[in-house]
Amino acid sequence: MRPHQEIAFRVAYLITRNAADAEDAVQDGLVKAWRAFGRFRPGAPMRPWLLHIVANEARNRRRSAARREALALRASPGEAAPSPEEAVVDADERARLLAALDGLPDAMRLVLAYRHLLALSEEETAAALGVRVGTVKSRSARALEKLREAHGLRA
Amino acid sequence: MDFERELSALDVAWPETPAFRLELPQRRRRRLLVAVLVAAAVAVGAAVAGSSICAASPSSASSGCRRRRSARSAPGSARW
Repeated sequence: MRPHQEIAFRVAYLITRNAADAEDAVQDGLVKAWRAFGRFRPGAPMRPWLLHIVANEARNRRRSAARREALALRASPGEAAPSPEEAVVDADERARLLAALDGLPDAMRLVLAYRHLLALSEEETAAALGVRVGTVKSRSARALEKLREAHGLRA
Repeated sequence: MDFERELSALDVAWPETPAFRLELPQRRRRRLLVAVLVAAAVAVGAAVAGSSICAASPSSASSGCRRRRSARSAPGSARW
């Protein structure tokens, strides 16, 4: 389970929007997964199974009134920008996109964040959200539409 | 603007992933085991102490073990 701890933490963080709550959710999720390991189907992929357990834990401990952290961008020094001005505009554009994503309703925000920020497959996203793969597809399309609108409003 | 591509290219500053350990169930199990062992030791100690008191004072009329012994051996004390 160790190789999946980072992605599990990020999945939990996107739900709780709080690092401390996400840490607790992963810790409890790992314990639950360890206890339920006997019921794990041999040969099945472990990551979606673990993400499902951790996401459930994170949902259980999400505190709506608690501190909600916003996603932030990291400066990427390796990126070659054509000019300093364009680099600033580019960074600004990305920050606006992330802010627009952050402002989406949870169901839409999570499906886009899992698919594109965490690069989860549709199956893994479905497991983490507790929905069917078809729902992931339709929700993604709706979320992109909404993101387009929100981003347009922020422009 | 290709939103899917732009989203995938975002470099998010995630909080640092903590080091997780699976110690909790072991600790709980160890605590339970220690509690069971302590309870068993106390029960055995109490039983040994009780039997040694009875053995040390067989003539004491006021002791509980004397009374129990006489109740057990008294004729007609059995219930039908």
